[in-house]
Amino acid sequence: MRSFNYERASDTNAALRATAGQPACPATSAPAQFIAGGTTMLDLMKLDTMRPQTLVDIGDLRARHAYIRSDDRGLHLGALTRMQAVADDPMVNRLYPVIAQTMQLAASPQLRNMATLAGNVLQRSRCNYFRNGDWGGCNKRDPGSGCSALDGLTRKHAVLGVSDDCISAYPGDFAQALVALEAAVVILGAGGTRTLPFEALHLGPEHPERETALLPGELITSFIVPAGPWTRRSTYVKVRDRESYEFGLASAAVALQLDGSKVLTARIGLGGVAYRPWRAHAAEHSLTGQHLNETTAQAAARAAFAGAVTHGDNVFKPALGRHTLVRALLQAQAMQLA
Amino acid sequence: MAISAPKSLCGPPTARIDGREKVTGEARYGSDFAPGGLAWAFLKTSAIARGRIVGFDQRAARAVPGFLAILTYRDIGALVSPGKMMTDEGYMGSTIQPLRDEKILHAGQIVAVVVAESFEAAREASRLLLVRYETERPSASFDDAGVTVGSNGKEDPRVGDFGGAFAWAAARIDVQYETATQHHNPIELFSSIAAWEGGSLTIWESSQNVWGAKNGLAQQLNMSADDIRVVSPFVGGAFGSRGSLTQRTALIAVAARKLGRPVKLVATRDQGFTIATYRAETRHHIQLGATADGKLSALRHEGWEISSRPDAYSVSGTDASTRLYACPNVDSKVSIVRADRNTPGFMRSPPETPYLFALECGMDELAYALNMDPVQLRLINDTAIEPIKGLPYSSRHLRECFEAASATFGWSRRTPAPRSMSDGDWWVGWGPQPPCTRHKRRPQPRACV
Repeated sequence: MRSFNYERASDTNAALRATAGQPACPATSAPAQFIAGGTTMLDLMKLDTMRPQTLVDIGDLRARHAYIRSDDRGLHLGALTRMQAVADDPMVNRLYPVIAQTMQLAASPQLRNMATLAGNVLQRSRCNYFRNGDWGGCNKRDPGSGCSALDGLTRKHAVLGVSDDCISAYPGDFAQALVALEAAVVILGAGGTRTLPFEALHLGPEHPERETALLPGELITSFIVPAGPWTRRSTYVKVRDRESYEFGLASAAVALQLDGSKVLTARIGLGGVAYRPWRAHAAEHSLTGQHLNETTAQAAARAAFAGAVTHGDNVFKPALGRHTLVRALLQAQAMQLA
Repeated sequence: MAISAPKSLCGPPTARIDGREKVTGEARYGSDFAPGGLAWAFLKTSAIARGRIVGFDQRAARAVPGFLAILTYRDIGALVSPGKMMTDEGYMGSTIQPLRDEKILHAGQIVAVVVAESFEAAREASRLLLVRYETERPSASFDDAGVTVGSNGKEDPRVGDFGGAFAWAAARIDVQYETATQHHNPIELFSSIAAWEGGSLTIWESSQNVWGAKNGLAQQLNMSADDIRVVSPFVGGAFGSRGSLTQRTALIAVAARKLGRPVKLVATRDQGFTIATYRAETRHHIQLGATADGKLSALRHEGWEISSRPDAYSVSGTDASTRLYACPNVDSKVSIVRADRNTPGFMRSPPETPYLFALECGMDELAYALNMDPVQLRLINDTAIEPIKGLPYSSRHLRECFEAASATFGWSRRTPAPRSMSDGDWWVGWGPQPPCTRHKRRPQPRACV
């Protein structure tokens, strides 16, 4: 078997030391990788898609980096918080329901009890051509080897933000809520702490092997979701082939600030349909100042998918994505806020 | 969650004999046995769907610590016989015998068995084994240019004059349906353990048919069935996939014989899609004609089924779909479409399910064309004798079944207009789908002692 070193870091300093001095390369191909819940790393290692030489277990960092806190500025989520803890948290369910719902609709109870928030946003593509090296080229896995998905089985592939180098869909749910709510991600590295808009964490398909702005050895420590009058009227709609333990074919994270039926602010993230966590700016603009009803919701949905590019099997996705967004908008509008 | 009490039809609750062992993890399945000196096998499967192997590079694989052996077609060849299909008086689910020669007949075909001291080492060596292919363009399903279409070799049920009756029918539907590929890939992975003691072979393998496995292996390995023991105390899940023998088992038996020690194979989840059987995709052309009061006057069912190049596995469901309702003029035809695929097989009986799906969708469309209740249409066409040969059914309770189901389900409350019924957030529609399966009667065989 492909042997590797396993280390445990007792605190963030130890974690940074254990991954110091890595070569300049995409973070996912760095020789030393962090492991927390392990729910995706172990899969990818067994599939031989990821080949770390060293795994640095940061589970012990939970003592300080697993928390859910809310204050006037917003919601603060520690990177090592378990998904299930967020799904169950009464405050998150009341003040940021879209975030709780992205957890409740994700994965399985077993996975939610293990997986952490930072690991969740960093989960990698579910593209079969990426995960199984037997079936031809993948630019994400072997840069320059081509994209077998382009004329392959594409039911689960993206239609927004794709290129001829990669059409895989970002699979996560939580990230759609974060991108919609303009969250920030706090990153710790050898040079200290930096904060990025969450929308800037995941990169486009120009270099499919380079998925995020993280550098080798950098560690996400927390997420900050700013408070706002739209967070309570927020919801997540996820459409998939089966009703649980399945990735979304299309999903929409929506947050609204309404005055009667008039839209003051609309925030929209789209999942299952895009190369990376996807903020639907054009749809938001089309709704702002409008009265929200089925007609304006459909106009916003058309704006969201105006630039969609389909390949074979995924020809249904723009329509499914539009219907999903319309449903999410109308469901958020219908929410009874106490 | 509340569990509703079983209705009287189900009888009193009875504890499963093996329930305790299964829920406590005590049950030992095929892959749970560990004879002494065990070596591990990992399958290398084909990355192409059609073509031939032109070479191997085994160097990196052989350098993996714990490596023991690689078996390719150069090592196996005629040591193993392909056997005969279970549907052809044999025991096999497929006669595509991997490692017989350099030909690749489908994606994911076994191209090598790699054996090592541990599962991980075997897997690693398998990944490092390079296989060079000469690739041909595959034709994998309907509409691909290179498939061949032929008869299933069985008699197509027909009676009366379908063409004339259909032309004069008061109500007609002419529709096409298709069903998707479906895989039985049970939680318990496809696994085999083989151990030799002198000339006797023991196989631990989850099987729905241990005698078939024993006899099939005897044919494949050219030995006496008396020298083979197949052990299968529990079957974790099968759905038909463990009724016929797959080609993997004989390969593991040969690997164990060559190494002189027991060998265990646990195939991966994705290999389960290509080394075992499945229900292939089907297509249907349904033509129904009826009188204005709903009596069927013409029924034609043409079906197409995907199979592999060498094996004509066929569900042939027109046997059932032409015999379910009274109709004087019936025609049918079944074609097997040979593609570059692994051989399909038994899955989730009754096997004619895709055909009944098509027929009953057609009946629903006919009911709609007649503006008639779809249950009523079926009851109007109920019959005591099957229409092809006029034979009585051994048992038929369609009317009682519909009446009981309608009462239980509240069928009279159904409203057929689209979007007229909802269940929570969902628009719903109700429709009937009668179940049916054939049972063949045979004369009692006479044994002379």
